Amino acid sequence: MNRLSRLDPRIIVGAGILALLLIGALGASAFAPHPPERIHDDFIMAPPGTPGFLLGTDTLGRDLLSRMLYGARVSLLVGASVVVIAGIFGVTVGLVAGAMGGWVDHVAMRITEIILSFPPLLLAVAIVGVRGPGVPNLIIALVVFSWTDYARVVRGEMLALREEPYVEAGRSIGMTEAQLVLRYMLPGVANSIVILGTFGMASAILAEAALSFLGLGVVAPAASWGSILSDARVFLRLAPHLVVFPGLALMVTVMALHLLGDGLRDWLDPRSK
Amino acid sequence: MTRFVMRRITGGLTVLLGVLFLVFALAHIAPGDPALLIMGLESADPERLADLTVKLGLDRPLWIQFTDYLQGLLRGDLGYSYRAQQPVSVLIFERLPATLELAGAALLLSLVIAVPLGTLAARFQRSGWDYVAGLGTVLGFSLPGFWLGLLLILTFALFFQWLPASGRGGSLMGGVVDLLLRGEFRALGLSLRHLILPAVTLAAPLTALLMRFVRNGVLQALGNDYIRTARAKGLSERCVLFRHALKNALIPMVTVLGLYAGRLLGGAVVIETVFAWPGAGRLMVNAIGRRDFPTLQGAVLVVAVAFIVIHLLLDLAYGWLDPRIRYE
Repeated sequence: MNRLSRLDPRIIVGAGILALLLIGALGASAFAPHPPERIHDDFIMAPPGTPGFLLGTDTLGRDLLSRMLYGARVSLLVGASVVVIAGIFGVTVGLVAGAMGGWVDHVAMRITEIILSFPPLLLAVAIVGVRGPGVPNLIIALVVFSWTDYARVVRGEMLALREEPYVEAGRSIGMTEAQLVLRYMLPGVANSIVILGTFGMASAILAEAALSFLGLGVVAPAASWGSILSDARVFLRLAPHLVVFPGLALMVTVMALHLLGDGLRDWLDPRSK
Repeated sequence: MTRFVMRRITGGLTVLLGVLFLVFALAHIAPGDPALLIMGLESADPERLADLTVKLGLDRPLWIQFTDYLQGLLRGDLGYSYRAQQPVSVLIFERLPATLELAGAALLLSLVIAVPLGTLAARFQRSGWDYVAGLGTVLGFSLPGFWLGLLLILTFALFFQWLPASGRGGSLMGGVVDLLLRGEFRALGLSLRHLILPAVTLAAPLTALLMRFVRNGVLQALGNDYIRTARAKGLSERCVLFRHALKNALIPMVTVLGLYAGRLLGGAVVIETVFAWPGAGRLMVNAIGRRDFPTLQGAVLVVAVAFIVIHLLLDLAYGWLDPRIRYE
């Protein structure tokens, strides 16, 4: 209870912003003033504040606010999927490598090194470029480079945990290696996984936007924040609002995740204070 | 030292081989016939396709194809772009200098900003200044690079019309040579004017990362006994801060820079598209649009290898700077 009352303000602000965003995305069909793909011929590139179109309209006369609400779904879906899939895979690899050691550990770490030798975005661009655009390929591409973080951190912490007296005690009462790993060591690395996941979601959302901006993300007429920015690029001078608002939404989301991550790290790990 | 160098180089070679295999494998994770993909065609007449499959060796076992690919690389053969009707190596090495120029400028810019500001933030910890620097760091992390680029274009190119919105104004080296040999500043000015916006855009997230790193490093260094000694013997605060604390905080930064170099090269792919900067990243994105597969593969390879080499060099520099590392 005492711990809850001393909750870091960064956690509250970050989680609050994310909760609002999640409500907006899930309830997009209820909140959006217009269907996201409806074209309003008389309102092409209407500026923000035009009656009926709070944030204005895009180059085809579609309501920007509605498109951004639906776009939030893509950002959050991709971000969450990448974190969950990469997290499960990476944590498993890290646990196995850390528990077994020897050649398994060696091979696993060499593989992560190979993946890390690619500039992250470069590998994602190459994979989506080869496999074609669309959300599933996007998620695959982002998972390919993001699982390594989880694997390396979990493995590193496992090596330290193996030497802990309570793990030694478990071993001496005849627990199997699998039991030790799952019951004793996994809870020990849980905090790190949560923190990594928060930052991982931020970078996945940014990467999704960048790939969609390059035309490698969602397929038109669906929208994500990145693809709205991509469409708006050519009309920068005529309709700056199409660039400003989706970018702001992206920035606020990523900032909220960073605040949450920083707050969680200090809250969960007393050593970092 | 020799053993340390050898160990790093063999480690680097193993990783390099894995990287080469991954790039090679890209052709085989694509949906559809690799021969079609390499030709860059959606459909082709079956006979020509069968010819090409044999000619490219695509009917042979995968590992033979891989050794062939490696042998080609050793001869400097990065493949042939059927779309551009040119060897891929020619296409890439035409554009690589532009990317390296952009990434180098961004790196320099972020170091020049982040090192002094990070040091001051550490020295005046918990002051208003530290707070502002911290806010700037969070902002730098959260700004999508390409969005910052668009905003800069909107502000400085379209609204104030101070700087060009896109393109490259000739090579920076060429400009410097012009200035030195002929005393002519025009070429250098033109290339700098084009370089400013993309370099600032690319540098922003890196500056945030480095600032946090320098701040934490200096903060840690300031807690050491040798700092107390330096203060006790009456050195000026500036000398203590920059000579003693900062210098020791900077050594581990060498390896961090290696990792960040990769972010720069990856970020360049997007930023080059925003500013129509004629570099390797833009070549890659255009190649995807044209389904020019060999060019994509070659560009990925060259950038990844450049990253590995930079990383390895910095790793070796780290061992040279900090003798403790060599004997680990």
